Amino acid sequence: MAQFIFLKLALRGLRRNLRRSLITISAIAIGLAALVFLRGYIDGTNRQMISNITGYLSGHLQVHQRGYHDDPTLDLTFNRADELMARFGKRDAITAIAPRVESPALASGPDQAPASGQMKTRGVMMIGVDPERERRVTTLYKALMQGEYLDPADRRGAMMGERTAEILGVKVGDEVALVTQASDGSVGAARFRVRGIYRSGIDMIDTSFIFVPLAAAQEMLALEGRVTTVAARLADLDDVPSTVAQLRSELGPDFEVLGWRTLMPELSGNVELHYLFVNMILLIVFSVVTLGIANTVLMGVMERTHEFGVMLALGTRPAQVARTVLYEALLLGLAAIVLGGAIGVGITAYFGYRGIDFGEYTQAAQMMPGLTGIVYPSVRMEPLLLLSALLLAATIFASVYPALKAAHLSPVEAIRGMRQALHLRLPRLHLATPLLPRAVFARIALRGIARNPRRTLLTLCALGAGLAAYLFLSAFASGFYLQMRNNATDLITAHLQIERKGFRDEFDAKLALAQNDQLLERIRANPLVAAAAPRLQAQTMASSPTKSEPLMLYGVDPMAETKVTTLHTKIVEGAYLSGGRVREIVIGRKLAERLRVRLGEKIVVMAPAADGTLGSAALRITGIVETGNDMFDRTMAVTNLAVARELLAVPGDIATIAVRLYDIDAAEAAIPALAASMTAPAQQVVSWKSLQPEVEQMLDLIRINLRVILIIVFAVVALGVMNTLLMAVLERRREFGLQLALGTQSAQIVRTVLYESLVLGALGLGAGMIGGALIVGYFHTAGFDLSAYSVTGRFPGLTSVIYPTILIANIWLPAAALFITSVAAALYPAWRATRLDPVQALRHV
Amino acid sequence: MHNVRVEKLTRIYRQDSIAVTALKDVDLDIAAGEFIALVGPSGSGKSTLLNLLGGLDHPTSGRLWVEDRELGAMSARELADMRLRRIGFVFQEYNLIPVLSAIENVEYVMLLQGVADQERRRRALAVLADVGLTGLEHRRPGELSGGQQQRVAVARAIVAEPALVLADEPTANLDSVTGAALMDMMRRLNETKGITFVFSTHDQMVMERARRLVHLKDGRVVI
Repeated sequence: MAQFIFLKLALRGLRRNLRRSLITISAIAIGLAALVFLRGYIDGTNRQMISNITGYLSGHLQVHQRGYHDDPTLDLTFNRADELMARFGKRDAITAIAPRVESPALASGPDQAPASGQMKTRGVMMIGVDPERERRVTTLYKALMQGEYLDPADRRGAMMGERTAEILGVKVGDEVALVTQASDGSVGAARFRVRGIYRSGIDMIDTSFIFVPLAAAQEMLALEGRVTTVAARLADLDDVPSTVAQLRSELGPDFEVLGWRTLMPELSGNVELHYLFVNMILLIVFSVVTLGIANTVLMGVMERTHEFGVMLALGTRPAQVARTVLYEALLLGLAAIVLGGAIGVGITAYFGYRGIDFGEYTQAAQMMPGLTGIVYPSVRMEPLLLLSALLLAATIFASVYPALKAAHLSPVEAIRGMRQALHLRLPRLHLATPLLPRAVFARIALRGIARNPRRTLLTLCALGAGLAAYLFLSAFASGFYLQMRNNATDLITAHLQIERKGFRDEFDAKLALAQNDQLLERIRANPLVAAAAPRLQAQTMASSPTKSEPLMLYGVDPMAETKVTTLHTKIVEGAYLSGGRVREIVIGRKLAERLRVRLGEKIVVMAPAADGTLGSAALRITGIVETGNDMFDRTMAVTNLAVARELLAVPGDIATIAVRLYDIDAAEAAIPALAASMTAPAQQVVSWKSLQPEVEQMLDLIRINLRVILIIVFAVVALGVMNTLLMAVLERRREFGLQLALGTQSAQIVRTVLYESLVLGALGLGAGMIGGALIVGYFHTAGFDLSAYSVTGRFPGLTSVIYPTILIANIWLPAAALFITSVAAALYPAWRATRLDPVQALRHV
Repeated sequence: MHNVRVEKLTRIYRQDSIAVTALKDVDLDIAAGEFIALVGPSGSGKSTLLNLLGGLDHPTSGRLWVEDRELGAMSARELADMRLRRIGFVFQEYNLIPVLSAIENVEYVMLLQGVADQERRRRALAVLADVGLTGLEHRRPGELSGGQQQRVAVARAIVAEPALVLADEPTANLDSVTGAALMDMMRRLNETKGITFVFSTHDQMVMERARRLVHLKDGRVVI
């Protein structure tokens, strides 16, 4: 029973100090609500991205014959699809299943003028699907722009992306011919009629696929009922890993079962990157929230020395006093978590239903693979419970120190000395007091700050830590952004490229720039341009004695190129190109590994030449680069311009001009200026944002998320500061009552508090700035190593070490706003205090 | 001439639905230069009357004048000004502004009144000498004993030469020797400077030193 007495005391204590209890509860609750919402927001963004992208093509998981994923050949097909699907259908987790055959094919548009050889041809991936089943697994039918979805009854109907249709020069109702190699080695060919044209907004899907009915594809490929793939959709994304594991053990070693993460490593990388970024932020927000809670709890306990003194004097044992304090914290924490959880879930659910529309802020997010401008946050139990438990633990932990402090008070001192006993006390010299100046309120304010170092420290902590956290976040994001942008453009893309319209569709060697010498001179003469380099660019096949790999080959003039891009600084073995006609090549480490070649060895590069023949060249590997970016290291290489000209049979031509500007931010502005210097038609200037839309999209997504997050962090920090100041002023009602009784005007008291909070605000701001700058400075030099997360290599421009950077433009506004908030937060209770009845205020202890 | 006049003064406190009558139809005249003790048991209305006299509280009904100005007709700002210039307060405890030293606490009131710098310092030193605190001027309240703090409070109350000093149980927290010394000092100030003192007490020693006793019981004046 003795247990309950202290629980009851704690409960009564909370009720008696209702206002303080409410402030503490609100501090914890708001923190939790913010964390829950943030987490829900990020989950929502990611789920949407995953669901949309897997919805277009891959489905949530796929089953193949073992080995098919790494080496997709028609040798690895299976004919038990119906049996498999019947078995899958019994699982609750799986909502739909669809069989497919997939095979590369050559697609040709209508043979308009056979004599001119103008027939448009393009390599595509032909996918044979069961239309009825497929539309339950993937949602590409929703992206139809023209025509209709595939129909099982229409065996010759085909569906393709808008860009593919453009390249082939076809529209709905036109014929396309598909030619492919069948499983028995014969040539399979068939004509289809374009039935539907879609636009997904994802380049790869819009340019590379043609969908046809399953039976037609099987016939073309001589597969007779066999399929390459069974794709499935699950009710809940979270079930993917467990379902994959179950199917694996059930199907045995003949099959491979792959979840979306394996099927779409880029998407998986994006999601990981996003989570990584956000977990960093949650960690920082969590520390700010915890600090705010510690502040409030500490203040709430310290204020009540007298009460604890009485308890001790009455014979309460120290441990019992401590227990009372801990019970109080526990009760406060529980109440706050219920409240904060409810608010957080409520807000998240509300926006989950309504959606948050970022349409106005971004165009890129609308093109972002799988992401529309509207984000729907989602509530999940697991993070909610985890965050609640952590905050409760933080609350109780924060109350341990004041609980011990209260337990070890001397009762006499506590009762008589009132609040003094718990205060830190600074020694004061007995100097003669100078004449009380006119600025008496400023002096009272200053001494008030010095008199109560604990309160001052707590307030400074709340403000300083909040601002420092904010600074670090902002700097981390800026560093991330700048680094990603610079890396992405510095390696090969440059800031702008000049090329013929349509060049980028097929990298056709015939599409060269006209009058290229004069053009290059005019571009270089533009005042915005720092350097410009001529290039050739072609899709080639690189072969070693053992293997072949696709390769994007750039022919460059080393002298000019090194002024535009920085690839030459990433050489880890050998040297950069020497120029002239030397038959040499610089390749990435990953490609070298794949081809199993070493520095000094030769590889053969083949490419379709402008004269219609297949050009080939044996090039010696003179240098190996490691850029930290997998995609570059695996798929790109540079050779001398003259060598590339010979390979592609384009003497004297260049295909593109890569431009480095003095200021990358001027890229968009420079486009019209450079376009004006082009005399030949059909040429265009393309900015890095168009050249690397995935970088721009990711940056945009991060920018938007950051805006959301910074608003929330700011709100949490501001509320924490408000709480602390509110408490500090409320604590002093008696002091204000005395001043009022002595005839001080209300405005003068408000002025005192204003001075105090101005000084505190300035000190806190200074502390925050210095603290933030130190943290940022440290990581700016040391770097923030993300390599443990292994997602960084998959994204262009992203390397594994982030160097946070402070951009003054990003911090002065929040700093000023925080300052104003903290001052305003103190003025409200001061104003309230002056409305008090002095008699009441004087009684208040 | 009346320094303070009170007519049918009634103060009823309401808390939730319960009404407590703290003062009921009190009539009282206090002449300039009086040294009066309000006496009576706890809850008899002493503090309520003092608070009303000081303009800290508002009567439920009835009227009161200080120096022929009716407090009920004054705005909050005028009341604050009245407290600043014409009334001095001494409370039972927590009397001083904790961040200001003894001399600064005394100067504070004069500063609000706009007394010139040198004059202020001179008068503060003089009045602190009057209450026997020479040498302790620069100590902060936390560094003074209870009796010393009350002396500073008295010094602050009288330095502005108010018409009236109100003291709510000034000796309640002091030992008898210190309390008696404080009372003697107030009495001396009353005699030499002609300041009116009204204080509440239930201390026999204090009553003996008063020149007039007003007995309160259950919110009414009984003698």
